[in-house]
Amino acid sequence: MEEFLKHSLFGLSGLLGVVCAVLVVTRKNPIYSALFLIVLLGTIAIDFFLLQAEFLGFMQLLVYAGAIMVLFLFVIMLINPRGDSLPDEGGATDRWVAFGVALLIFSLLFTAIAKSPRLKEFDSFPGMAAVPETVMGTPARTADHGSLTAFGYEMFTTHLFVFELTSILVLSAIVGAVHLSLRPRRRKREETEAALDSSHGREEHAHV
Amino acid sequence: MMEWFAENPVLSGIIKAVVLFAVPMQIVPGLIYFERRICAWIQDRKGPNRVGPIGALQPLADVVKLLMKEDIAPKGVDRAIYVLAPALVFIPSMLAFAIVPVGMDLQVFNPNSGVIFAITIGSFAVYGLSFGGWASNNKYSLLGGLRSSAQMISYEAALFLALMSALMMAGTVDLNVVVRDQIAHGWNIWRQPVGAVLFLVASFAETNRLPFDLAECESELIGGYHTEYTSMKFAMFFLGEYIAMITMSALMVTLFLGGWSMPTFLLTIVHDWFGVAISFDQVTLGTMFWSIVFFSAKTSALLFLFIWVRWTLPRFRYDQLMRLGWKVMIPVALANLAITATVIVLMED
Repeated sequence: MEEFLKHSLFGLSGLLGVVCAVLVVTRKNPIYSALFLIVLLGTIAIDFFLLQAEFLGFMQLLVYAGAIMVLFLFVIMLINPRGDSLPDEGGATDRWVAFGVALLIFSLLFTAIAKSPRLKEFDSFPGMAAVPETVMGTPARTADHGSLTAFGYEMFTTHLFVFELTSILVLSAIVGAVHLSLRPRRRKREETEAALDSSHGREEHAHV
Repeated sequence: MMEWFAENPVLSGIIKAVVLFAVPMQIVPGLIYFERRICAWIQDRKGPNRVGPIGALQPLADVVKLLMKEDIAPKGVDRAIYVLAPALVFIPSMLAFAIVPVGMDLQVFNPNSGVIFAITIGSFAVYGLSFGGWASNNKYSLLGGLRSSAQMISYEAALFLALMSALMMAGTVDLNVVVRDQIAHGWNIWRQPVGAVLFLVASFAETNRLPFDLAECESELIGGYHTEYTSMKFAMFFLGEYIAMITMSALMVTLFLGGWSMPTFLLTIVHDWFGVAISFDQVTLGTMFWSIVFFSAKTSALLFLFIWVRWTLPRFRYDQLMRLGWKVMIPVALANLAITATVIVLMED
């Protein structure tokens, strides 16, 4: 019964996800695209929950659906494209190129998954709740699989180097953003100072 | 009775969910009444006093008015999102309340990720405000929506960092363990005063209450994101704001003010007055009752603080709000977190 519920939930969320993904691309209004992208990210979180990766699921919701999409929405609303002001979607050539790229990525991923040696070790279709006890000889799931503790432990032991590397990447992006936001202000300040200096000089002349 | 609850997890879960949904819903009209009475008191006015004794039936009259009002949607609104937005404000705040332990080990459900659930779900409330502001096809509403999305993102970071400082004291995300840790070592407001202040300020910003209600800002934006809403849709926005206030107060109480517990000297007072001995070692019906009383008392006190601040402080200017968020709150929260971590590590050795 539980297995059946999980499978049907996976099916439903998968279906909803695919429909939303299509709607994200096809909606003319970017606000609707953003709305469906939020729902799509939510369905991915459901898949994480079904795989008992609870913490990862919440992070998916918190970071992508809860934070990044808010910034997306902010930018879309700032531009506020409505009716006639919506930009052109591009011609038929663009669509064929996009379709070709999508097909290429899909076939690449499909072959990669289908040829994976791990596939045989799953007793059902990958992505379902049935995670095997061992994958390639190592235990696939511990007692607290997917919990915050297990996740944090893995992050700061096995994957410490990659984790720190990612944090440096994020840090450099922050520094870049701060630098870009400061540049026009500094230039403006220099201009104001120069203007003040010249007017000041003129005043002194007047006094003399 | 406690055994019955333990033996019937499904049934007791449904009962808990229904009761813990109904109670905040019923508190909101009363809270609105009290807000109006308290603000009148602060401003030396009388406040609502015509409907019923001391105006106590005013919330009922308000609800009837909101229900009977004609539902008007202005021209050019984006119908689907316009209807969706009020629900998007209300539902996340209500869901986040589900994990708050309102009494000893009493919560609708307790996921492994604990309080992370509450902050994740709570962060979705911003979509209601932004979508509502956008769909209204009104430049004031749009500005309100824009402001709210920028504000929520900015203060969410400070809120999480302040929350982390409280969680680090107990070393867990399970709110019941956080409360038990506070019973053993004293309330987090004494151990994490900086974190507590940051959390309180950020929760004012997250609930869009004065001095941070820039999304509404009636003197500049008429009503901000809810300018174009009437009748029940407007009431949903209103309800969402108050439920968010209750949820935030409840979270603050649980994280920093000892949750459903009480310090020993107050327990002895309860013992002297009512002749009941309370110990938080095991869950009994009496302890459960008193833990709910303690929790409600603390949450009510915080809700009073919310109202008090609203009618005392003037509104921030938008650039001041952003400067406070990014240049004061977040650096202080990060420093607080670093110091907390260092002290914890040093004390372990």
